[in-house]
Amino acid sequence: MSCSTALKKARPLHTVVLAIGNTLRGDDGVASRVADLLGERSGVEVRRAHQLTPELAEEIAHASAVVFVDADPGAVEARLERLIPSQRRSPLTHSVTPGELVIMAERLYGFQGVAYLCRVPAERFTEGDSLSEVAEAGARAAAECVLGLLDGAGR
Amino acid sequence: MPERILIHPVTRIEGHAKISIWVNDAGGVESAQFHVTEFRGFEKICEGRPLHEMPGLMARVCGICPVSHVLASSKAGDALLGVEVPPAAVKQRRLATFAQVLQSHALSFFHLSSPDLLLGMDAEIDKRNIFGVIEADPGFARRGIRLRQFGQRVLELVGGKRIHPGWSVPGGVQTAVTAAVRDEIGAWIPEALESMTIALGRMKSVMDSFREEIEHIGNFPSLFLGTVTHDGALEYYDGVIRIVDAEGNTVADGLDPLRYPTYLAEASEEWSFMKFPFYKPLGYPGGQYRVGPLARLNVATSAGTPRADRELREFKHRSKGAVCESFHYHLARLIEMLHSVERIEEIVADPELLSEDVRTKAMPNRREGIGSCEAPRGTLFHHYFVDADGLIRKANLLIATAQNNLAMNHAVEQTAKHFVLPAQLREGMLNRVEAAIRCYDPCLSCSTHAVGQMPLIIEVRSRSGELLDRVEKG
Repeated sequence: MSCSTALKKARPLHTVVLAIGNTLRGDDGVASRVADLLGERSGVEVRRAHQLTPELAEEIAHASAVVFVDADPGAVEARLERLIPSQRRSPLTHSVTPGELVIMAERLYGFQGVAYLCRVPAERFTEGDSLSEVAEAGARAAAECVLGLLDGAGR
Repeated sequence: MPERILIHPVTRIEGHAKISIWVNDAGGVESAQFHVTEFRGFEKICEGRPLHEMPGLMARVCGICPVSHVLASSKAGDALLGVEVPPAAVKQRRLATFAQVLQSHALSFFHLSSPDLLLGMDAEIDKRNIFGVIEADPGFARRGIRLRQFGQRVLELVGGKRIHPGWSVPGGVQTAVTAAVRDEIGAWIPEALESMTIALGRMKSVMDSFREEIEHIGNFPSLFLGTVTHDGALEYYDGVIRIVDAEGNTVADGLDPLRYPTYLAEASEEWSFMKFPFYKPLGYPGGQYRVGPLARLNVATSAGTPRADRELREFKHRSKGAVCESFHYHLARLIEMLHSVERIEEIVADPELLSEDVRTKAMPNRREGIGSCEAPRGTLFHHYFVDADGLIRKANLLIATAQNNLAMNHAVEQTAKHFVLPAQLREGMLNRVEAAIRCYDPCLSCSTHAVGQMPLIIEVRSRSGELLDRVEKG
C-alpha cells in the first residue's frame, strides 16, 4: 500500500469519491467494492460511475477534494496519489479521463479543490460480477488509503 | 505520390474504424472506404438467455444509447408475451426515449462536433476539441453539459441508472414514477428550452462559413427511412415506417416495422465488420438509405410540438425535395433535441404518468417477436426467436449506425474526392473526411455490438500495399 502522498494532506472539508468502472466486467468493478467498504461518512459523497462523462464536471465542482478510484491492471499495490490535471492531445471518444474532468470542473465551474487518483490492482476484466483475489485485496487496501485521507491521518 | 491514404482510427466517434483513400494514377482521389474494425457478436451472447433477461442484457450493447436497446428489446418481449403494455409504462418508455435523444445528441453536438463547427475545420488540432470550445465559449460549453445532464438525470430518475438502465421489461416497466420525480423533471424544462434556442441560433449563425462543406461533405441523393405516426408526424417509440427519396417523394409508407425482413436486408463486405443494410426492392447497393435525425426530419410531415414544428418548416425550406446534405445532420440533431424537451414537458404534465399500473405479466405466448424504435442514430430493430421455455434461440439486431453504412462510405468518398489533395496532404483535409463520418455520429460499439474506443490513423500506401506514410492521432 502506498498512501504517503495523500496522507500528508489535511482532512478535506467536503469530499467526493468517484468510483469508476463496470461491475459486470470482473475487476473493472473493483472501485465499486472500494465504495462499499468506505460506507457512509459525514462530509463525504460516494458516487459510482460506469465511465466518466462531461456532466460529472459540475457535480464534482462544489467539493474541496475529489478522489477518483479506478481499477489499474498495471498497479502492483493500492496507491493514492495527487492527480495532476491533464488532457489528451486529441480527446477522441464519448468519455473523459479523470484529469480531463478536473480541467472541465476548474474551467467551467471554478473547482478549486484538490484531486486524487486511487489506483486499485486488477487483473481480470472478463464478464462476471466477482473480483479476483488480487482485486479484492487491492480494494481493502485502497479503502484504507482513502479512509486515511478522509480522516486526515498523518497531519 | 501516395496511392492509399489511411485514416485510422477515426476520431470523435464511438468505436474503432479506419478510412482508406485510394489514389489514382493522375494523383487524384479514386475512391474511399470506411472500415469498421471491431467485433463483439452480441447476437451470439443472447442465445440461451431467458427472454426476461434480454432488456437488461441488451442495455449493455451500448453506453450511449442503452435505452433504445432496452426498449426495442422490451417491445420484442411484449410481442413474445402477446400482451398490451399499460399506458403509464408506455409513457415512461417514451419519456426515457426523449431523455436519451437529448443526452446523446447533446454529447454528439457539443462534445464531438462543436469543435469543428465553432473553431473551424482547420483549427489547430490541439485546440480542436471540447477543451478548445471551453476556452472559446465556456457559457456555450456549460449549456451543452447541462442539456446532457438533464437527459441523464431523467434516465436516472425514471430508469434507476444513467447508463444501462434496465427498468423496462417485457410487459411494461418495473416501477411507477412518483410526483417528486415528475416535479424535478419539470423544473429543468425552462432552462433546457432556453439552451436549445441559443444552440439553434448559434448553429444557424455559423452555417454560412461552411458553405463548401455543406455542398461537398456527403451531399448526395439517397432514400431516407424513419418512423412516423399514422398521420406522418415525427415519432420515436411506436408507429409505421416511411421511406422517401431525394426529391421528397414517398417511396413506401405505412410499412409495419414488425415486417422489416420483407423490405430490408443486410449485405456483408470482407473489408468491414459492419453489415450493409439496404432497401430490398432496389437491391444492393442501389437500395442505399439513410436513417437518423436527417432522415427522420425528411420523412416526417410535422414534428407535433410548436417550437420544433417551426424549426422543421424552416428546415424543409433548405431544399425543394429532401435535405440531402449530411452536414445538416447537425442542425437536424438540434431540432430533435428541442422536440425532445417539448415532448418531455408534455409527458410530465400528463397525470397518467403517475399511475402505478405499469406492468402486464404473462408467460411467452409466441415463438417470434420483433421490437423497433427510433434510437438517436436511427431506426433500431430487435428480432428474437424463443423456445417453449422462453429461452432465446436466435437474435438479430438491425442497428441504426449499420443502416447508414453505405451512406457513410458514400460520404467519405465524396468528401475525399473534393477536399483531399494527396500530393499536398494537410490535416484539415483529412479532418473533413472524418467530419463526414461525424455527421452520422456513428456508434460502432452498437453497430458491431462491440466494445471499444475510437481513436484515428491515416496511412498512405502504394498500389502494392507498401506503407509510405502514417499519421496517428490520440
